Amino acid sequence: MPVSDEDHTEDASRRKTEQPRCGTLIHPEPKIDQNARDRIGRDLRATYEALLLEPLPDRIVGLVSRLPREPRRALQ
Amino acid sequence: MTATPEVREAMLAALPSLRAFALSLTYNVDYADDLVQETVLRAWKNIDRFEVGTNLNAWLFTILRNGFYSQHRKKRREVEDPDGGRAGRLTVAPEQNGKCDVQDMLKALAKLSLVQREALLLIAAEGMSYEDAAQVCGVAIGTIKSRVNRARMCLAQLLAVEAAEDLGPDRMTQAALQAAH
Repeated sequence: MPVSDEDHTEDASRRKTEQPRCGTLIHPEPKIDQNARDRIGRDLRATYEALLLEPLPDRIVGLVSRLPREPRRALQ
Repeated sequence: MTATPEVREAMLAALPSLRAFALSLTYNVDYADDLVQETVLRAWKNIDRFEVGTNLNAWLFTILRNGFYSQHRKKRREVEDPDGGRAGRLTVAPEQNGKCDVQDMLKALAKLSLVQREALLLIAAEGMSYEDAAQVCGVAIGTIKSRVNRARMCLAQLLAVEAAEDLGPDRMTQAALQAAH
């Protein structure tokens, strides 16, 4: 069956403007290798643990201990 | 939920994590403590909005993060730290096993954007699920995954660069090489 010029143009236009389906990554993000990822994870946790071990200031610990039983009424 | 002694205990248990997260956002001890204090007060005041069975830590982190960004926008405080100067002033106890240089990691983290830093810390350090981290940051799970991946890439690059510099020629050798050319 012969294809008309109009059909041809429309088809070409569709090909040009065709977009990837929703959720399809055009260029997938590069990822670091597993060893580097593991090392960063270990170092991050070690750093975060150092922050966790920092002593809490008394004013914050005391604040939680002194929180009233009826929060809304007392803190308003 | 009502303000029971159990909730109070759970909030006490969450304090170290909240403070560590606040420190990693602000790189300023006083500012971090103020944020934690405001978080505790706001959470207690709104404790009836907390849904039983959901993650209390994630809820507290959300309040803290919202408070931080609210103040950040209002006061236009400078919290990005491209030179790592503020990171250098935030001193923590040195790592005992010597495997990780905490100060180097803090400096590298400070060079990440805030959104990448918080996503990475919530997932890789705090151990939060992608779902909870997405809730804390108010974005889609896919966005968190993308931010974590980009943060890891940046950190790998930053730490590798620093390692390469450590192994590079010292200043005298560099000067001698320059003089020879």
